[in-house]
Amino acid sequence: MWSIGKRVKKLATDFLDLPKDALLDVPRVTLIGGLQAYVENFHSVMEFSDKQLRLQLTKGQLIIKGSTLEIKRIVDDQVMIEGQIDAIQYVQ
Amino acid sequence: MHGQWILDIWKGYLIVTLYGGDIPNLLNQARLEQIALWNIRHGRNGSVQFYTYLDDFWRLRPVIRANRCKLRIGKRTGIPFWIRKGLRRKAFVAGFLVFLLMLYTMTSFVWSIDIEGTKTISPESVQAALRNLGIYRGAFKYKIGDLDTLQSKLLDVMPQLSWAGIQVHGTNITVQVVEKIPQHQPEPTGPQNVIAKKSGTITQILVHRGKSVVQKGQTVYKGELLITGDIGANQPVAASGTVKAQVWYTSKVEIPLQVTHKTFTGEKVKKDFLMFNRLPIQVWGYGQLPFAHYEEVSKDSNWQIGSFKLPVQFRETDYYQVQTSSATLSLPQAKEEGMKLIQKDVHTQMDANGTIMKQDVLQEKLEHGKLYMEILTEAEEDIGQTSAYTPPNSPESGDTQ
Repeated sequence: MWSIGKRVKKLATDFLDLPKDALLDVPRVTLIGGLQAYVENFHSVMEFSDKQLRLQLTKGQLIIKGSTLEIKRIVDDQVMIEGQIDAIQYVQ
Repeated sequence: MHGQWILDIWKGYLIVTLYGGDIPNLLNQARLEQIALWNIRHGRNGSVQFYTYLDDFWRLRPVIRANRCKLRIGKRTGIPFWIRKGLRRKAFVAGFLVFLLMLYTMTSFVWSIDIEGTKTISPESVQAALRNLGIYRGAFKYKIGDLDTLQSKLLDVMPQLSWAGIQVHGTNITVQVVEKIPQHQPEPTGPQNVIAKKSGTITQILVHRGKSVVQKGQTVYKGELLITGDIGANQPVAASGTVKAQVWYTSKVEIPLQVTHKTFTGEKVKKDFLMFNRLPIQVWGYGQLPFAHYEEVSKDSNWQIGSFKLPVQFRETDYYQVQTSSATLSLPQAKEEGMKLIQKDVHTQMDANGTIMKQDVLQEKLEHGKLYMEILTEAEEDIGQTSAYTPPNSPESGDTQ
């Protein structure tokens, strides 16, 4: 699966010391305590209940578990979740 | 995201509750359609609730239908909804519009005109001039026109002004004027006489023009000819000169020996009232007056519509604290006081350049705690007064007023 372009991008990020998510197509998750999670660069919502939110990524999935989960905002490729967050699982 | 809520209210948003259907898919489609959804939460009984903008909602509906959800619309917030609600309450909207209209019309008239700076001219004459220029109580503000031209017009109409400034503050117009300092009267050119304006004994006579017909030491009566314009030539002149004479004034005065003085301490309390047809209703400054002695000064508004005085008026009352102190005068003090009073009184009666020579007490008696005095004041002053020229030996010679 390693195309030339991807390899160049990865080299560039390593070499230039850029954040990984800037060029690679991977999500960035910001977690504030166990109260708020902010996910950038996801593909789509797969599942959403008050216990679990499952996001489809370009490669793999991101699962956020907890209780009384609530999507505060969902715009473009960004989503903000509030509630009691117990676990974040990254599935390759 | 400061001030986001203002935008939300402006756009109008609503709470949507969905039952069943494919929620994740719906979220994804909404994202693709650029529909903003927020506060997405699960309710009991498997429903999902979220907020969305009103204009987005119309685009969301087909998406909801495609995902086979049942929808219920909850609370609606925001201006578009309120406007619609308002349109249903026609009377309310009409009232509001009428209120705005009234406010606008009421503020487009001149309600009061303040004239400042008049010293010798009566403010009424300025007011009359302004009225002719279209500035009066109840004038339409937008018809007044350019203030600079009005100022120069006012100066044209009132030549006794050297400067005029007109300012509009809301519904009040302030007109400031500066009066010209009066010039010297031109010297008279026609023939005239100088006659006595008071009776007295002449002490000094200086003739500038004409011929004196009286001498020093002579007693003259009011209206008597002093200097004539007839100098023997066939052309009479404008007589002028200074004729000083001793003049006597008798004046009576009463001085109470017990005097109460009132002095303001500077403390004051303000109270405001609304007057409903003379019935004052206090609206501001409640509470007991903190001082025992006071003087009240009331200022009433003059609210009118056209010439109709409104039954509701505003009254501002200031209560000034007063300190009273009483003093007892001794007899010599009272006497001195009386003399001073009489001197002042005489000064008002006589020529500006006059001097008081001496004062004699003719009578004094003490009654009811008051000192009654009659005093003769001797003064020296110019008693000359110009009058129309009459040829000598004519019947009404020297008898002009």
